[in-house]
Amino acid sequence: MSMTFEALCTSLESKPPVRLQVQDLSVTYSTSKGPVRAVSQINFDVEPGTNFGLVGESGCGKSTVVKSLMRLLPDSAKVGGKVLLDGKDVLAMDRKALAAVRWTQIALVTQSAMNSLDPVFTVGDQIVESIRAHVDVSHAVAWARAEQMFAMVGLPAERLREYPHQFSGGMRQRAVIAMAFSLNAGLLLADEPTTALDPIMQDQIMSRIRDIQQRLHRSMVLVTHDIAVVSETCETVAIMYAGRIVEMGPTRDVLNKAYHPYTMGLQNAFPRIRAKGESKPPLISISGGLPDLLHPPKGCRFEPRCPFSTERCRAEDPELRPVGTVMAACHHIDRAEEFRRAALKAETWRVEEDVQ
Amino acid sequence: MRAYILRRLLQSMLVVFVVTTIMFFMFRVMPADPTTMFLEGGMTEEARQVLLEEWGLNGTLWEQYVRYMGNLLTGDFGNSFFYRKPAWDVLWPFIINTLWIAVPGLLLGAVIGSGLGMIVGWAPRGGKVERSGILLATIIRGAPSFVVGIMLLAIFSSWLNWVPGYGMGDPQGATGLMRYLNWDFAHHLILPLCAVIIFFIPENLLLMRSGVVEARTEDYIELVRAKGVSEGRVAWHAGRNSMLPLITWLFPALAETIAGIVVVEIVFSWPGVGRELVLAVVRQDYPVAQAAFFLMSIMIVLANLAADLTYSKLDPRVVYK
Ligand SMILES: Nc1ncnc2c1ncn2[C@@H]1O[C@H](COP(=O)(O)OP(=O)(O)O)[C@@H](O)[C@H]1O
Ligand code: SF4
Ligand SMILES: [Mg+2]
Repeated sequence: MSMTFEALCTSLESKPPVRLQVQDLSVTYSTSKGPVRAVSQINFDVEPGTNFGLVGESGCGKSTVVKSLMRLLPDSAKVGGKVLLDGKDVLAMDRKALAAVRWTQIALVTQSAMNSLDPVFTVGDQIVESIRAHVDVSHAVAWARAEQMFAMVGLPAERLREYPHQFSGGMRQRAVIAMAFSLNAGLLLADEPTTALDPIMQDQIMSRIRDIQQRLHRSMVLVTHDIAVVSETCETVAIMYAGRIVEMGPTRDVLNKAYHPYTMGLQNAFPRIRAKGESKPPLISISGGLPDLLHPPKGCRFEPRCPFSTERCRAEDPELRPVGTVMAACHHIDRAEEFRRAALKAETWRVEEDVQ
Repeated sequence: MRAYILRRLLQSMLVVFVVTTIMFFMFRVMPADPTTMFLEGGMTEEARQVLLEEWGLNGTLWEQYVRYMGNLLTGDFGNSFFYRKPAWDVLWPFIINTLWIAVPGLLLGAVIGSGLGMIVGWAPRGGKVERSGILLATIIRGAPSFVVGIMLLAIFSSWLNWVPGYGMGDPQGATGLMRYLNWDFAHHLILPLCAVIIFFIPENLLLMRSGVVEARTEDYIELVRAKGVSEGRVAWHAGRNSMLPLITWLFPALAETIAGIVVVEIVFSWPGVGRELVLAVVRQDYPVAQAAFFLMSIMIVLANLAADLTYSKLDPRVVYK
């Protein structure tokens, strides 16, 4: 006997948020040029019902982390460590157990709004597919649930019958978000959910996600390179650099009192919230690029771009360790006060280019 | 949509008209007077004229052409020089024979080929399944088309002696549909049918595979997998998207396939329309050859039209105006 719509909604609403614990997660892609260590031994926890921000420039391994949490990486990727969902290790699950946690426990909003829906199926059928893969309901009941989700993201129910190409980019991303919440998964992974959209749409979509998260009390891992979005959305933030977490802690503390020079540099690259009357600081970008992950530097991975690097930085790889309320991976966290002041000056970063 | 179909039908008719015209003149400018071939020596000039008239070979070339096209409109293809009866009456039994190997052959070839293509495309890259799949397809496609037929003959007919290797069998007085619905016919059918299927598999396999390989890295496939559906269902999404390029190729490729079917008919002495066409050209039996080409051109334009319409059914992004 399949479930009624009311029974489905009741059972979904009573789902608790998920606790995520990532332990020693490493990912190595084998490529024709050799192994690429995209993620090196990272650790973090997401408390039930909280939002966790993962920040870093493009190519630092954010999507690789997200995909490994759902085991979506290609066969060329070797994944090590543990991904515990309420204590159960996703990486150790067999096929059946894995299929069962996908979408019911972890749902995903991918990076590209344009390509994340199958062009040859209606949007409604794709949402229905996600529901009926896991719960025994009729097509009509699943469709009613899809209508409910569409209403939640502000899309008219009739449009469920349309194909993705009939939607604008913003609408597609809202449809993907509607699909992500179709089974009210305890953990949402949002991988740069707004990058493919124009700035106005970005704000709309982000506040939509925030609202829903607050209302439904879900856990979330939010990947972005936008510090402002993180400060508005996430209780906790981790800053990634070249496959490592270099700084992590309560968002407010990390952003107000950074210990890692990379975090300081990242903040310079974004317009900061400032007190009344304070003059607008220039946007400074960090010169240089990510190190080649085929041949990572022996010492600190940020060393080639770090304005404060020393002999020790070149020789030794710093470990993530607690400092105050946060954790940072830098040999010179004791000099953070001094670094913070210097980091505000453009000349510190050896860059003349002014983004604005 | 209706306007589109109408426009395409008109275009198709134009194509058929042009092809028919070209065929007509091509056969007329060929040297040799067919009457000399079929006439017993010592025929009077008068008798010869009568025959020429019967065959529509009297008058200027232009007059012949106008008469031929006019007759064509009424469904009259002219009389066969060789069989001395209407070309259509000559052809249609051969057409039926060809359909017996062509239709199931193409359908099974497409289904088996694209099914295998889906498996090979979905298999791990650089793995055993992928490598042997591609190798097999390339070998079959690379081999001259008669080789497969001859190998089938050698193995199953000459060596194992499981099936006959020649012709269509003897209906033994059976008429109508019963000519085909008997064990003897099926026994004769199986080998040429297999040859057509095998002939058709590689292209389907390779096209489907490349489509699936491309589709499997698409973001939407990742999201389908993330939804926790079965792996078969994920493959279906990839396959369903890969059907689009396959369809654009499949129907127009029927034209090429005709060549393959002719070869199969000749190798297996299957009395089909392809084999008959070759014989008609050799015999300079123009009406039969022209009629066969006419039917083929109709089939090809219809196949193209069918390809377009199927495509629009499969791909919601396509809108015809
Ligand atoms: N399928 C893959 N094969 C090989 N290398 C990859 C693959 N996917 C990503 N990478 C590499 O892994 C690193 C991290 O990529 P990614 O996780 O996409 O970063 P981000 O999401 O932070 O931009 C990059 O250096 C990228 O080139
Ligand atoms: S360890 Fe050295 S190079 Fe690395 S961030 Fe700290 S100061 Fe810079
Ligand atoms: Mg990414």
